[in-house]
Amino acid sequence: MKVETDRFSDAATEAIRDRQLQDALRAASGRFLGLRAAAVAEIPDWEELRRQAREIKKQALENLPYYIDQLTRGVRAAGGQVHFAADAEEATAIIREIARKNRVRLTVKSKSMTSEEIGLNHALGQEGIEVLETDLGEYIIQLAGQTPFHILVPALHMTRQQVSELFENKLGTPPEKDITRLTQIARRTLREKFARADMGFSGVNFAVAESGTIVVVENEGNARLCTTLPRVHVALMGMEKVIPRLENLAVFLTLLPRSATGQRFTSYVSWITGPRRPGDPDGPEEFHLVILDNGRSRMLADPEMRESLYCIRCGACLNICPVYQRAGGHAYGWVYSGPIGAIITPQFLGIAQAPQLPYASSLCGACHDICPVKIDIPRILLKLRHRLACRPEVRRDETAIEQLLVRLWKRVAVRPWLWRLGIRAARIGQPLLVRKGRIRWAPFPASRWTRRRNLPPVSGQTFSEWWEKTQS
Amino acid sequence: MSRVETFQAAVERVGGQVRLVESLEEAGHVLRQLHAAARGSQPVRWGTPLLDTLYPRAVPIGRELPAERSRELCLSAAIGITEADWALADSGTLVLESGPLRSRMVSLLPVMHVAILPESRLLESLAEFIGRFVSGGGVERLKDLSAVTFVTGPSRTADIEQILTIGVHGPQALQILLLKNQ
Repeated sequence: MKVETDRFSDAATEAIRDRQLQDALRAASGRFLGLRAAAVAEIPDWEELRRQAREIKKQALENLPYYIDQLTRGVRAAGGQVHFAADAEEATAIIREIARKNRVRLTVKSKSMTSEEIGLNHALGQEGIEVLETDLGEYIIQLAGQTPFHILVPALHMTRQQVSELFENKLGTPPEKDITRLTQIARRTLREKFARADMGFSGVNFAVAESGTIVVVENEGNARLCTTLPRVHVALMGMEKVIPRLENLAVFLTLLPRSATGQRFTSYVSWITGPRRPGDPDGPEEFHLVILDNGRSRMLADPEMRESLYCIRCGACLNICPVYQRAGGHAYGWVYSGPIGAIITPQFLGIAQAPQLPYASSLCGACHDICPVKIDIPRILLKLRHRLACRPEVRRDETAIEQLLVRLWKRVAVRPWLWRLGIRAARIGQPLLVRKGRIRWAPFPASRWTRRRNLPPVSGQTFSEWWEKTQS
Repeated sequence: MSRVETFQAAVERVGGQVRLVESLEEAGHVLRQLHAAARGSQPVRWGTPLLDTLYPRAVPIGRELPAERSRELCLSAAIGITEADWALADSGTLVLESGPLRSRMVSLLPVMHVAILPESRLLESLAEFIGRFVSGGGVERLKDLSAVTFVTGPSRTADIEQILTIGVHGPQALQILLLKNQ
């Protein structure tokens, strides 16, 4: 996947100007937030569940080698195979090898952000293997040659008209206005592929160490098809997906569907333990679990960043974030967008690759409030900003200006007479700049600030002036 | 609301249907009606003793049939009949375990999935199910259980303009026959 993580500001500006996109974003998040609120209201001990989920994740991650080991033994005891991939290259090499050994020509895939992270489709394509996305949204954007726009709704930015045109161009189907019929076109086209595919690929929502079970959560049925019909099932998981015990699922399977789509349960949840057993009439003959690092162990080793790995990929933070609401997913430039993307992209790729992302936030904290595992995203954003400030060569201009402004402020702040003088000067000068109650442009270096943010004007009366007046 | 009523409401909320039947005879009658109304070839089913008795006309999917044939039958069937090993009242969820007589394709490929649920298998919630599963040695049993599938309503998506569409890749309809007092 093409990485464009250092043009957030420009990309967001373009997105804001796109009326259709803004309408789609507003409608989608309004809908998700409404559904989520209703679903959460049904659970009186929601806060307690959040607390428990966070504890479970903490326990799992602080003892990760133990649980990964237990998971591995469980999968193997069930007749499955486990592979470890240090990075994207190793992961794709492992999966290519599995495909080669099994003479795979067609792979059907259910949704996996991790597979986008490693560029799996491209890697398999290079072997001449046809890779078909089967989640409707992913299928649409695959046909369109685009990247996903939202963790849960990959084609959020497309209208039915655009989908119809896409199907007309790529599938030769007649124009179709009705969404049900468009969905049926996809169902018919993909059904035939499910039956013919040699390999099925899935992600993993949770991996239970105690029993060697992977859990796949979905609504469409495509993941069940990918993990039942083809002879070989390959499941890819980030290593942080492991949870200690089966009973932990009572917490996570309550939190995830409600946080994500406001459902009590998604249409299908599959607990998969290994390949088919000797007496089974169907199911894959081979099960491969690929456990991926790709920078996660580095995040794990960093106590300030570790909780980034608690994420269960529900997408709630995207829906509530005022920045994501306007910028949309593509502006973040990589697989993961929204508040979670803003903190993990710089960690995966290095902050020098994504210097704008920690600033793609007003630090309002809504993401922290809504996160089912209580990840303190604003705290991590500030930490990343701190790290960027310690590396002035990365954001050279911005850091130089920030340092200048801080030095200036320091000078003035310890000299009350200079401060008061400055306020008076601002009051006199600012009417030139105030438009509709806000300062929307100021001369350099303040212009760098006002390019993206509006300043409130200096008030007509400072607190000290008011105090003196009322006290006398 | 009784547990059955809660279950019924929850299933209907997600686009499924629950029919209460008093006996196996009545269940068989309902199945014949559904079969008559459906288009597509012969229904397929699990090969469990209950379904052997209840609806022998449907084809049991098991190892005796060649894999290709089983798949073809399931792909063209209008109806797939299974039992539900458990059900969860508050979310309207069915729990299906895989096994020699319990093909996964039967609840996945046909256009309509019909599940026979004896009332005694209806639990309150996921929490109750997991508690029972674990204390009943479930973790050990998973060594032999390649798939446990939780089914809540027919398949769905809202991927196009966030407008809900029922019936994507999985079944487009879900009918649950709840066997009262069994």
